[in-house]
Amino acid sequence: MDLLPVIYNALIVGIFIGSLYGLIAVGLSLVYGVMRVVNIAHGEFVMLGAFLTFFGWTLLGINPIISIVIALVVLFFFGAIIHQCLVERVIGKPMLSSLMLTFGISILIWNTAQAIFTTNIKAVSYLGGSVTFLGVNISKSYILGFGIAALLVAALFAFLKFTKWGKAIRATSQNDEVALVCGIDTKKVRTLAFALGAAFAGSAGSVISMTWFIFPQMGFNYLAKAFAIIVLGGLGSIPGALIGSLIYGAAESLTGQLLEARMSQVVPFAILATILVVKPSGLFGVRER
Amino acid sequence: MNRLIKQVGLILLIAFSGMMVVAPLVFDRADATLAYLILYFIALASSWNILSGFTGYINFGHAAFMGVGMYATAISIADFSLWWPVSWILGGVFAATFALIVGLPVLRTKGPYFAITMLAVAEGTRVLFGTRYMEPITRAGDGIAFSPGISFQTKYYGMLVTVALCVWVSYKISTSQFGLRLMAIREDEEAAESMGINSTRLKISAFTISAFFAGLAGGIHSTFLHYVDPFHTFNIQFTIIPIVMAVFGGVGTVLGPVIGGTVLQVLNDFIWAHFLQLNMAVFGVLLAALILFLPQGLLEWMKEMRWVEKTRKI
Repeated sequence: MDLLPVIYNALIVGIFIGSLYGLIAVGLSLVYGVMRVVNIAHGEFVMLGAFLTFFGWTLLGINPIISIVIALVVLFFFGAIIHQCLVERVIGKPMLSSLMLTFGISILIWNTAQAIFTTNIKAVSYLGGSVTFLGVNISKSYILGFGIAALLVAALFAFLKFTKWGKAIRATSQNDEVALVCGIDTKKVRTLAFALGAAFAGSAGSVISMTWFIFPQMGFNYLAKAFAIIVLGGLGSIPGALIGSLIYGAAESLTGQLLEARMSQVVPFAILATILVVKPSGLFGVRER
Repeated sequence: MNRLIKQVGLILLIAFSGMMVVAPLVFDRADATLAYLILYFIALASSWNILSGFTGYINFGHAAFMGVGMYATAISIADFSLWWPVSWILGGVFAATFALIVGLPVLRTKGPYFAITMLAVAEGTRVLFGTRYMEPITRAGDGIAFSPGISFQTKYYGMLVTVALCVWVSYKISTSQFGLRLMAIREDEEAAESMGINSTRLKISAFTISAFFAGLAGGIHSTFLHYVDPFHTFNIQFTIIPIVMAVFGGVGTVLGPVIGGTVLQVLNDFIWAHFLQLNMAVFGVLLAALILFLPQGLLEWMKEMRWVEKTRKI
């Protein structure tokens, strides 16, 4: 086996799948940055976005690409409700509370989904086929995922940089007490950040339903990946999450090509362990308060 | 009034212990099996509590230790036909060794890092046990079926001894300097370290003890099931249910996991019989509700109400 083309191939594919993971990781990182909560139910938002697209397509005949927007909007409001009713109550409490609470929400969502959707593996076979890009065959859905991820992340950056609410989010993640003193409604900011995180996860799930198989318990895989990515990039750092996602995608794709496809599931743990031993604050870690 | 409640509590505890001792002799098989499962989950919850309750390091991967113990026992009986008590203890020893190896890098992490890394450890172990690289040892996805040839009563009393040991160790920890140091880590790790506490060594000790009991209980349980495979052995429900039990009874208490394990296993039995499909969702709701409304757990709440003596011994 000629190794070099295989590695080249894997790296290009890795960048595409990495961008999709990046979309999930950015949301997780945003939520952590604003309220120091690691949302264990984040993966379930991905799953809900994926099933929304699947059922929109099979039952109502909605074009999956339109479903990306629907998933974005639906998950935005779903996230806002979950935050308002549940997560907001444990803000400022010890880490144990928010971890356990979101863990409970996660279990509730996937098990209910399992009961309703059954455990059968599903997929939206919409964007089949592939195109050649830089001499590598890339599935069309990867290109779509890359496009959506680039668009949404660019929009998020612009939002954080140029709008009043974006500024409020940045202020709150720097120091929520001072932000509160300056007249920022930090509760609304937290709700907005949580809703945005859920919306991004939902849209990623929508693309994933066209790319890979979906099943109710899939959320955990994506949570582990997203978490490995934000640890790699530094908790709470959004540029870190983006660069981390590209490195992660490349690592996962290389492992899958060179070893066994199932071994790529061990990658998040291997990356986590390495980073935590070598540089616990991640590549672009923000200082812990 | 309160003294009366305290005495009632003591009598209940003695009655419960007595009932658990005679259960396999007097109950029919179905009830004795329920009693056995109560003991099994108490062992898991109580061993989880040894690390997470005392040090505040939330372990979301407890099933990994239980699973490693199950595999160690199953393999030592199926392939090496070892005597069953030896293979049970090997389950604990392997789990403890595994914890020692994993703990060295993982316990450098704190808070959410530790919690999710442990989730990934459990998933990673499950995947690893199912890959073809491990097939000569673990039979990959096929699992291992074996017949240990032990009576139900032997397994029952094995589990009872495990639970008794685990609770006794929890009691010893909570009343010792070792336990005080662990609790100092929970309250403020930096302050504890600046007082001269070697937090890494203490955390690894607690982690290893916790894993030993999980592995021992897992090993005994594998001889009860006669079968291990990656999917069932490392199933996340064996992490979730013990955590909910410990939170229900009271995290960081000696008897909390016993109360939580007993009450919730009876509930679990009921859920399995009536809402099989939603069995995990019920625990999800319960966990969220406990965190919102009774975060300190039943036992701590009873201590607040002065129904139980306010001491670390309970």
